[in-house]
Amino acid sequence: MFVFSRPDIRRILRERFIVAAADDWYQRRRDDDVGRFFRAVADQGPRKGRNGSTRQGRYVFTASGKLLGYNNNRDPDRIMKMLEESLEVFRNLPVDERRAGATKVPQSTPSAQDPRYRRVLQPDTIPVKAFTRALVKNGEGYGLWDPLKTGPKNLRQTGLDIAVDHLWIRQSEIEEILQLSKTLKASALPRDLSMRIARYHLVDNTRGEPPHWRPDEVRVLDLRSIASIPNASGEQVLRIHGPFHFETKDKQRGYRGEINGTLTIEKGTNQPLLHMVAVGNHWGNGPYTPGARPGTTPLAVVFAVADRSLTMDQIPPQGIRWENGYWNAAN
Amino acid sequence: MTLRPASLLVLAVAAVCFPAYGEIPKVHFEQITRLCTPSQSDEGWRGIEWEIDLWAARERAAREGKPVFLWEMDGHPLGCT
Repeated sequence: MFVFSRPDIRRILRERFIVAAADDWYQRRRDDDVGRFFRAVADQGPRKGRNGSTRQGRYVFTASGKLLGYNNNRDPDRIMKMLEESLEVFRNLPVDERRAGATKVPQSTPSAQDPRYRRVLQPDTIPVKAFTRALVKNGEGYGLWDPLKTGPKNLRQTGLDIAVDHLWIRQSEIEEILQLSKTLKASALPRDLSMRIARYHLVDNTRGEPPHWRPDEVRVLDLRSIASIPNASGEQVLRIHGPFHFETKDKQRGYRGEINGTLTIEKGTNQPLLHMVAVGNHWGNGPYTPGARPGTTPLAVVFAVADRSLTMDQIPPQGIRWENGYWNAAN
Repeated sequence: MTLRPASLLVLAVAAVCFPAYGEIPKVHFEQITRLCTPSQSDEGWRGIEWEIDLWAARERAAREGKPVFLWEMDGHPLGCT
């Protein structure tokens, strides 16, 4: 059973800890208070990041930066043991080290944070959830791969669970699409947006960090929008559709399929509501995503506008590590 | 070439019944959306209130007198999984 599905682990985390999650790619590199604090905690454990190597794992530490526990293991029993042992260490600290208000945390302002390794959802950016899943075709269309056939019990390890990423779209790109729709003809989506969707989000991230498509691996991409008749609520609706085909030069990895969807401008709020489905056949492994199913098999990506008020929906896209490359994906 | 009425009828029916090239049938669109979207009652990590700002987590820990549990991964644990 995946770690955080265990009721006892969920309960202990909710009741006894402040729970945080972070991308180590940024944390181990950032040259500011946040990065220095994290590395000082990590250096007390086994992950000292020699030669810039990963410091990933599960850490328990005090607000003052004292490491109480660490592991990098998926086994729920071992994680639970680590949590309980960490709490025991915490309880045995002097009261003045652990009571509420005892530690004074200095202020860390955004302007003092390393901009090279800081990605923040801006007001003019629309976050979109991108859910990816390996499927099978059956008599009724599409279904889930039978977990009994895979052997391992942990869905995540076999890449059968839903993978999550976030697509960021600028408000100006939505406005450009709406402007083009006034011609009442099918218009190509802004090229940077099409390529951003293609290169960074039509990827197999179901088993780990995915390789993103290089521009020369995009063989076919023709995403278009066309104004449709208003819906029952009188809201403006655009239909989005188009084929895609990506393939590496050695043909060992590829993805070929179709995208269909709608962009609806919500009445009253003028909020753009995007709902797209990409589905097609994928094949091949990435450097960090071994274990692909043999042959070409169905892979689907569903895009739906996120709720920017939720911290979980403010996570930057995986592909925005190179920020300029993400936004200008057509170049 | 002039098409016979019967041929025209076949073409008309085909246009109505079969999606245009590249169209994902509505039933598949809805099916795939359902299969790929986490449910509201998902019991996994999605049901936990995560801080994504480490400094904010540290400040809360100091205020509340609790330790921090940090899930640190290459690829954000909540956004590349």
